[in-house]
This record gives sequence, C-alpha cells and structure tokens, in this order.
Amino acid sequence: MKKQNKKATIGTTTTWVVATIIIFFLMIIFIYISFTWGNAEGLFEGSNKLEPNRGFSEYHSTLSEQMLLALLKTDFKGKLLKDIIEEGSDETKGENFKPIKKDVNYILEHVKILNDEYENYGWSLFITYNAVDFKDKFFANTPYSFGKPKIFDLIIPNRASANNQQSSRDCSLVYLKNSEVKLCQLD
Amino acid sequence: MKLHNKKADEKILSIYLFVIYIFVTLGIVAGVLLFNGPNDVRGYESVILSDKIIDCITDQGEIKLNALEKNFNLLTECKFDFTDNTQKYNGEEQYSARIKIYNFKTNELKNTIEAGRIDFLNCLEGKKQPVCFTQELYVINGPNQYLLEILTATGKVGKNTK
Repeated sequence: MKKQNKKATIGTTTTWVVATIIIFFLMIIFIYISFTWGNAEGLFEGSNKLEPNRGFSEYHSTLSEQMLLALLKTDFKGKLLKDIIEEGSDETKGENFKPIKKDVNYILEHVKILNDEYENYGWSLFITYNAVDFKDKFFANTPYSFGKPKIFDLIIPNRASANNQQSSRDCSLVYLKNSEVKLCQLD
Repeated sequence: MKLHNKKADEKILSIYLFVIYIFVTLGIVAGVLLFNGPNDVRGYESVILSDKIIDCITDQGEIKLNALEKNFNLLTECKFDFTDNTQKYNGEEQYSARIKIYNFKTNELKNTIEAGRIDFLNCLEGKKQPVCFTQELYVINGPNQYLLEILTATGKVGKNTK
C-alpha cells in the first residue's frame, strides 16, 4: 500500500514536471511567433518615430528648428539677429540686446502653443556666450533670455513643474561663433 | 484500493491542468491585447503629418514662395498620399490638413491651403471623431514675416476605436 502510494506520487510529480516543461516551451514558441509577427507588421521598428518631439524629447523639433532659423534671419533695427549675436560678447550682451528685446519678445509671445497639454508653456530664446569651456565642463555664463523668462536655474526636460522645477520641451540649438543659441518651450 | 488511488490522482491533476490552462489562456489573451489592443496612435500621426508639412513648405526658416500662391497643391508639392489603401477604407482619404498663412505684423490672412478630408477639420470632441493637432510657427521670406497655423487631422476611427 505504501509502495503503491509512493509510485502514484512519483507519477504525479513526473507529470507536473513534464507539463511545466511543455508549457515553458509553448510559451517560448508563442513569444517567438508574436515577436516575429510584430516585426513583420513593423510594430517594433522605429518606436522612437512614434514620439516625434512632443513631450518626450527635449531636442529635435522641426517646428522649433525652423522657427529658430527664421528668428536668426529676422531683421531687427536694420541688422539680422544672427549678426547681432555674433558681434556681441558676454560683457556686452545686455547693452546689445536691450534695443531689440521688445521686438524679439513680441514675436515669441505671439506664436501660441496650441496643445492643450502644454497650454502654460511659452517660447523662450536663450543666448549663452562661451557656453562650452573644455577646461571646466560645468562653467557657463548666464544666458540672456528673450520671451518667457527662465525662473529657475535648473531646467529639467519634460518634467512637470510640480517640484519647483521649470520644464522645457521642443528645443532647438545652434552654435554661432562663441555663443550657443537655444529656442525652447518653457513651462 | 488501487483504482481508488488512481481516481484521486486524476482529480488533483485535472485541477492543476485547469490552472495551467487558465494561465496559458490569460497569457495568450494578454499577448493579443498587447499587440492589437487600444493603441490609438492617430494623435501621433497628426503630429507627424504636421511636422512633415513644416518640413515641406519651409526651408532654413523661410517659407517657400509657392506656398503663398492660391493654387498651391499640398498633395502634389509635398508628395503626400492621404488615402488609406487597407481593406477597411479601400482607398478612402483618412487624413486632412489646413494651413493658414498670416502676415505676422498685420495679421492679414495671406493664403489658406487645404488638402484631404475637409470634414475632418471640424475637430469635434469625442472618441469616435478624427484626432486633430494644431501648431503655430513663425517663418520669414526675405523681409516679410509670416505666421503659419497648421491643423492636421487623422480619421481612421473604425480602425483605432472600438
């Protein structure tokens, strides 16, 4: 009787083990088929393409890229913004940009951000002279800004402003001689 | 006695098997839902279309001159195909775009370009409605400044909503 019971237990355990192995392999086969099928349908390729630039990536936006280039080519008081920036320096920035500040602000404030999700955002243009110092990576001059002001020193890309941090999105960046010019949507 | 033991074993085994069957079924259902579930990407499609339009009608921050002409054809100029050739729509247009070009200083409407299903551009609220996306852009052309208002809409309601 005892021996028979033992046999039955061994039999049951063997069945369980075999069943588990079969199920494991079945799962592997199903996952493989799903993955192959998904690949054929193009579900996995270029998943980043589904996140073109809205709220996911701080950089690379066709909108801000074209707008930044348009701003740099705009004539302010007889001079292109690009030339005004290139002729300036960190010491003279305040003096150089003061006469055009109102006009640049007018443009940035009149281009609305119509996405409901980002209704509090506004366009902001930063100009930083000698932005990259290779001896000391963390050194940077204070940027001169147009449009929506930068409230906090720390700007966290794509974060809600809940923690007293100003978030930015849809940025584009160009380097002109000794300056870094960045156009962003700021919260 | 032997027969009785065998019966008991079968009982345990069948419960176990049922549990396994449920797990496997849930796994398959979850897998299918993951791939064919409510992944409504029409919002992204509208955003991508809007970006493609900007890419097409502007160059280095300047609007292309022909975009200011009344007879500008967005579909041919930008090589867009707004038709959906899947079985569900059978070549029916499922996208739409409207570009309004304003003089930045005077706010005067210089041109309106429309393409695709114009009825989608009503942008009504609701799950069973096309998904719209609007953005504004500042561009120039020589000394002239323009404001572009780009509205794009993606239909494919039947395909994306259940």
